[in-house]
Order: sequence, then structure tokens, then C-alpha cells
Amino acid sequence: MKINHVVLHKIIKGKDKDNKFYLDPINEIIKLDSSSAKLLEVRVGEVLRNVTTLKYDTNGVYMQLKDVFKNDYSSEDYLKHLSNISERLVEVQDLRVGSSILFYVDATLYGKDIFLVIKAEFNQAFELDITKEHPNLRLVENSFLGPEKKLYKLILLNEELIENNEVNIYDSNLSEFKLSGLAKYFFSGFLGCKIPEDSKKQVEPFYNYSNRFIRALDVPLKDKASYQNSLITYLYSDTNRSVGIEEFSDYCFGDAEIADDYVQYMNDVRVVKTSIVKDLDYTRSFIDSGKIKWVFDSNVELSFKSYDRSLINIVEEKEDSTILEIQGKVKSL
Amino acid sequence: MNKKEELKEYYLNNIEEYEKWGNIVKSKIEELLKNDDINEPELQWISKVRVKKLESFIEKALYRENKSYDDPIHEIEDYVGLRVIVLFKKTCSEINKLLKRPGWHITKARDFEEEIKKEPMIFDYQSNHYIIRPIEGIFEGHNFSVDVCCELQVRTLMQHAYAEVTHDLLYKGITSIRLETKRNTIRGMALSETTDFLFQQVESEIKSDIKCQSKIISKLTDFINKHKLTLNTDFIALQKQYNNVSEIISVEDSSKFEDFIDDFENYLVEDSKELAVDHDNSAIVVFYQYLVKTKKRQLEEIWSKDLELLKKIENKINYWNII
Repeated sequence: MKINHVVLHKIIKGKDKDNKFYLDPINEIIKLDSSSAKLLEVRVGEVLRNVTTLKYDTNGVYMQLKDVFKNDYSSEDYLKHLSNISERLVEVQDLRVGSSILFYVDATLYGKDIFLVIKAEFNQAFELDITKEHPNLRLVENSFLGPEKKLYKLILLNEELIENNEVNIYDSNLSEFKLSGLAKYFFSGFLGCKIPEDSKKQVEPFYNYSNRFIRALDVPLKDKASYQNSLITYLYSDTNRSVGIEEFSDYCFGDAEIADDYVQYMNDVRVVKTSIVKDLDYTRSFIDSGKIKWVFDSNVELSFKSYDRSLINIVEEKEDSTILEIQGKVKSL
Repeated sequence: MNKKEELKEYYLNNIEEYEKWGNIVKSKIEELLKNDDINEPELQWISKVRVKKLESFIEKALYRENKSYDDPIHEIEDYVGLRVIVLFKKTCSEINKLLKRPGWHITKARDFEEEIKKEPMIFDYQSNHYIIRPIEGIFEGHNFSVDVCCELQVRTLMQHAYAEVTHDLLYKGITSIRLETKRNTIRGMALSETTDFLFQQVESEIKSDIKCQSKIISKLTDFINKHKLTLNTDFIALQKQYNNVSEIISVEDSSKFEDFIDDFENYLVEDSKELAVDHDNSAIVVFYQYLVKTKKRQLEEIWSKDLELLKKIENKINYWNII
């Protein structure tokens, strides 16, 4: 990634009684030195694996960002537009969060233009001084390389995305991400985007293709059942922030070859391109309504709700029989 | 003149001509093997021409318990013989085709593949036997009696080991054989055939791996040359670096790697130079990018070096996915 220039805005939390934020823009276009640019590229690259796609909904600064990306404004107008965008964040910023710094990054990636907005934690104790030796590196290091993950929100635009009124986003707090709470102000209130309807529904093909892959594996039934169980738990759980191929592969398959094959298979069938934001209600109702059917070679069939999968334990597989342990007593025959 | 004297007279009058024919057959086979692709390291050994001793000839003609001859002079065909011993069974088949080329008369007296087909449950002596004669006594300007012939045996090293250990003992009736010894003989043959099978598998796997490696390195070099990237494409160095990860590479990877280069060409051109800086400026980083993209988890399991390069590659690949 070639970083063309960066614009920085500080959003400082006031110390008066109502703790209001105010914008402290550095009204100049900064050229990062090569070490800083490299560090920023690496840090952004680390989170790109977990980006998800949002759709423009209403209000917010999405359309202004789109204008900034598409138009070749003069420096003065460019900086003015960015200040307006940051002002919007000042307005909607959740009072529970601290001071932050916004990086507007204009870059070229494999010959194509991209535009990034990165929100990082800002430590007011750190004096932002761009006149000293290697100030840029210190700034980037301080913003992104602390003991905590300080890059906590990212917005990415490219030509293809804006044509569809879409944006790729990353949020380090996606575990709480339902476009509510802490994240709501940023992606909904500030950016004006929402989870696209078809994204919700992508969970379904994700489940179906993952299940198809697991069923086709040449492994003992016990392992297959364990993988199916992991799939349901992964989708059902509220601790996983989103649904992603790589993430699920690492979560589910202990065998490296199977894990790699799974990623390859899912990429080949092109079920999902980026991570899917999990709409928990939709996902759970989809899983709850699903059924799993096991057919034995004796033609005996066992059918149960996907959600009840954990109540069935495969004790042993023999050549001509399978010993199962099912929680609960037989209710009717 | 009794039968024995008659045989002795024929032997003494003709054995030199048989030996001469045997030597011509040997030279011709050496020439054939030298001029053909078969002349590879796996070809092990061509024996000297062995001339049957008079006593052995008489014993075979008159006293052999398990076989009697009405006309031993013409029915016995191994007055002289030679052997070609090879490593792999498939080489026996290749030699079989080669032997049909010269203008001589050749018949197959024993065919171990056919014998196995007929008796698949039996493990026994295995060797291809050929009887080679000059057509109407003439071969490449040399004249012989029409009766002259030479026996050629072609077999694998394992088959030869079995034959050497057991042939005289079991089939020439020198002494009676205990049941347990017979059983051990069969065990040995079964093991020999299994070893032959495994060696053939190993040879085939090695060849297939070498072919796969060559295709990948060649594609890699073509890519570097096409884009005039200043990366090191020294074959030996690439081979060594490839071998570090060969454990997770399968035959299909050679064609998948070609597709990968075609699909991600622009990204590879931009990223490879930077990635190679801390890796001897080697072109192998292009292949490592393929491995990270397709076999990341397996690669991490076998990777013996600093993980920094893999992290850098993964970081770059994350960018590929969003553009």
C-alpha cells in the first residue's frame, strides 16, 4: 500500500462537568515517512482479515466521505470537508469513550485508490508534535502499538464499494457489535450505515456449505459430529462478533490440513467475501428451525433439531454398530 | 555311441558357437540399453555370458527328476545364458519392448506377470526368460548353426535374490527340503514381491515429486523473468528452499500454483520484491505466498524459521482480499 498522505484530527474529551468533546484538527496534509507508513500498513493489514461490509442507510457522513474519495478538491476544501466529517463524530461520540485521534488516509493499493478512516485511542499525555525528528513514527507507534489494541475502528472505501453504496469496516469491539451500544454511534450515527439485509442471510449459505464440507470429510463419525457441534456453537454464540471463514476454520478444525481445505473450499464456492456481521436473532432462529438427520447403513434414521445436537454423544463407532448416548428419557414410542 | 556320449559330442562340437552367439546377444543388449531412455541409474547389472558346464548339461538332459527330454539337444535352450537385473518391475516391461527391436528371433519362455495372473495365490520364483536365436542362422553378418540359441533372464534385484537363494536348493533336487524351509521360502518370496511393489511406489512417488518441483520452480522462474523482477532464481537455492516445505506439497499444487500466479499476478509483482528483502532476495517468496494463501495452517506447522516472513505475507494477502 502506498500511503499518499494523511490528515489527523484529535477529538478531545473536555474536562468540564459535562465532558463534552471538541475537535482539534491539524489543518495540514501530512506525508508520512517510510517507517511510519510501513507501520501503519502492517497495523491496518492485521485487521483487514476481519472486515465486514455495511450498506449506506441514511444520514451520517458516508456521502461526504464518498465525495472526498471521488472528487479532486483543493487542499483547502479537502481539509474543510474532513473537518466537517469529524465535527459529526464530535456530535454523536458516546460520552463513555475517551479522547481519540482520527487518521484520514489517502492511499493507493495495487494501482487502485482507497481511502481509510482510522479511529485510534489518543493519549493526551502524548504531545502531538510533528516538527521534531521522526515525529510521524512516534505518532503512529503511540496510536497503534500500545499494550492494548488501539486501532479500534476502521472505515475503508474503494471504487467498487462506493459504486454499491457500501463500506468495509472493522471494529475491535465487534463482540458487542449489533449496531447498538458503543458501536452504534460510530457506524450508524456517524457513518450512517447498517448491516445489509442480504448479509444477515449469508449466515444460511455459510452454515449449509460448512455443513456440506464437514459431511464430506473422510473422518470418523465422532469427529464429524464434533465439527457440526462446533459450527452450531460458533453461529449461535454471542461471543463471536462475526462469522468468517478463516476464523471458523481456526475455531473448529484442529487438523491443519482439514482447516486449510475448509478455507479453500469456502473460497472456491464464494459463499462470503468478507466477514458477515452476525445478526444474532436471525441466526439463532435459523439454527433453531434447522434439523440434522443421520442415516445409518441399516437404514435407521435419527432426526433432531440442530440446537439439540449437544444432547447426543457418540460413545463408540464399531464396524457394524454405533453406540450413542442421548440425554433425556424416551417420551413416546 | 550311447546317449550320454552323443550329448557330450554335440556339446563339445558346438558350445563355442553358442558362446559366440551369447556374446553377440550381450553386446546387442548393452547397445540397446545404452541408446534408450531406459539407461538410467536404476538399471543395475548385465551379467557375463554364462556357459553351461558339460556335467550340468548331461545332468539336466538325463537325470533331472522333475523334467525329462525326448530330444534334449534341441529342447534344452540354456547352453548359454545371461541376465539383466534391474531395480524396478516396470523396467522389466520396458526391456521386454526393447528386445523386439533387433532382427533376431525371440520367444518368451517364462513371463512372471502372466504366471501371477494364472496363479494369483502363489508366491514362487519370478523371472522373464527369453530364448533368442539368429533368424535362419544369420545375424548382422554373422553366420551360425540354425540350432544356436541363448537364454536371457530379466528380473528385479529382489526376484534375483530369491532365485539365488533358492533355485539350486529347491529345483535342482540336490537335497530334500524340510517343510519349514519350504514355508520360509514362500515367506521370503512374498516379502520380496512386497518390497518390489513398495520400491516401485517409492520410485513413482519420487519421480512425481521431482516433476512437481520442476514445474513449480520453472513457473516461478518464468514469472520472475516475465516481470523482470530482480529476485534470485538460482535453481539449486530454490530447490533447497522448496525442500524446506515439500512435506505439505502435493502433485496438484503444480497446476494450482500456475492458476495462483495467473489470478494474483499484479499483487505478486508488487509485493514479492519487498517480501524477499529479508529472505536472501529469493524468488521462493512467490511460492511461499501461494502456500500462505492456500495452506497457511499446514505451513505454520512445518515452518522451521522465523515466523516473521509468514506474518508479513499474511498481512499482504489480507490486502488482496479487500481490493
